[in-house]
Amino acid sequence: MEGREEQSKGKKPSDEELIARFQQGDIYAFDLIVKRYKQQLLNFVFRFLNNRELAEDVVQETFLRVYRKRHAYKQVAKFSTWIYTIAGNLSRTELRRRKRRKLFSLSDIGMEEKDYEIASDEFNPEKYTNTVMHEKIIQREINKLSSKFREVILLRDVQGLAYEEIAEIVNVPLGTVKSRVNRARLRLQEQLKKSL
Amino acid sequence: MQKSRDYAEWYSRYIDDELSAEEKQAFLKYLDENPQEKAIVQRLQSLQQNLAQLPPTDTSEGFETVLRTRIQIEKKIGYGAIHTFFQRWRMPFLGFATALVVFLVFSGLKGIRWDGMPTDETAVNHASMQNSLSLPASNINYTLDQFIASPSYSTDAASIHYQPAEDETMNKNQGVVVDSTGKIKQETTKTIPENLQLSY
Repeated sequence: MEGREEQSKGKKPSDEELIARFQQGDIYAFDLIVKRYKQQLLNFVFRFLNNRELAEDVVQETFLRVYRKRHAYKQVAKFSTWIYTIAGNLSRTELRRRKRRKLFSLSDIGMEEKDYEIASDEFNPEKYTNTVMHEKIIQREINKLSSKFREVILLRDVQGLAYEEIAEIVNVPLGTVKSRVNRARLRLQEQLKKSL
Repeated sequence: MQKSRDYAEWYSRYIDDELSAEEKQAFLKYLDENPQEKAIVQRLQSLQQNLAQLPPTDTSEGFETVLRTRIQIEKKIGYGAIHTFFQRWRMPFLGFATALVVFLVFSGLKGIRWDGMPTDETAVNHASMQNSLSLPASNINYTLDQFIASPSYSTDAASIHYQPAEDETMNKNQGVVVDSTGKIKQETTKTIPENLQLSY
């Protein structure tokens, strides 16, 4: 196949080339898309939902949507923007569903707190300025942010996307995204300062 | 010295290296004059580095196999066709279902008890209607309570308005006795006098 030939030659096809091939019926191109995006999408969704199992389900569903709606993608936007938009929408839906479930489930009360519990002796406040912060603490504090702030800070500082791309993914103006990222960073550093 | 809030929006621009040379110079000067603000910016820089270095999360081993299986299943059951069908008919179906629920609720409130049995009032209406329609028009029997409750009595065939004559006496306290089959016992019905005025 064309994709295999190019890979064997050492050429790395762009995302847009892969989706174009997939739209023409090259299933191998879809496999390459999955391999390229599965980890970064899982990273984003997992940090957004703070639940590994749910995150993997959401990423699976994202690829299924890509498979089903492959002809809906137009090359006016970057492929990464498109796939992150799908993943972001599904994650937000999942988050809302979880909140609704929590409202009706008494057994869930207090569970969130338990998930975040971290042994305090692992951390030394003096090391804060040396940027030694444990992943779990950061994750805990990220999850304390509102979903709006959490989404943009993850896309910007964890996924490393451009502000313009984030604006398209979350469907808000560029200025709003920049402002949200700034506020999210300030809030997060404030929370980390208190927790350490 | 400028207020800190004026510079708060510059933090991210500084961290993202989006400040112009002049802006950057002014901002650094401001930070030198404000050690507290400088500490915040340092913490922000450190936070950004830590976020970028968060370890990646790996998918489970069977991730791609599960995905392929799901795709195969969808292909077999024709998800697209089913999905399109439900998308197209979802709103009419929901509208019909809502109307049906509303109808059932109202009919239940009016004449049917929640256990499915007819209410007493319905039984009386039904029985009296049956009595009156099964007899010849010149010999129609009406239940006394029916007239007390509502001066106008309608059937499916026609509306009959009952206007009691002046000399007619009615026992308002008289109850209606309904037997187990839903029929009204004769002693609780009253034959319409000859001078009764009926309007159709």
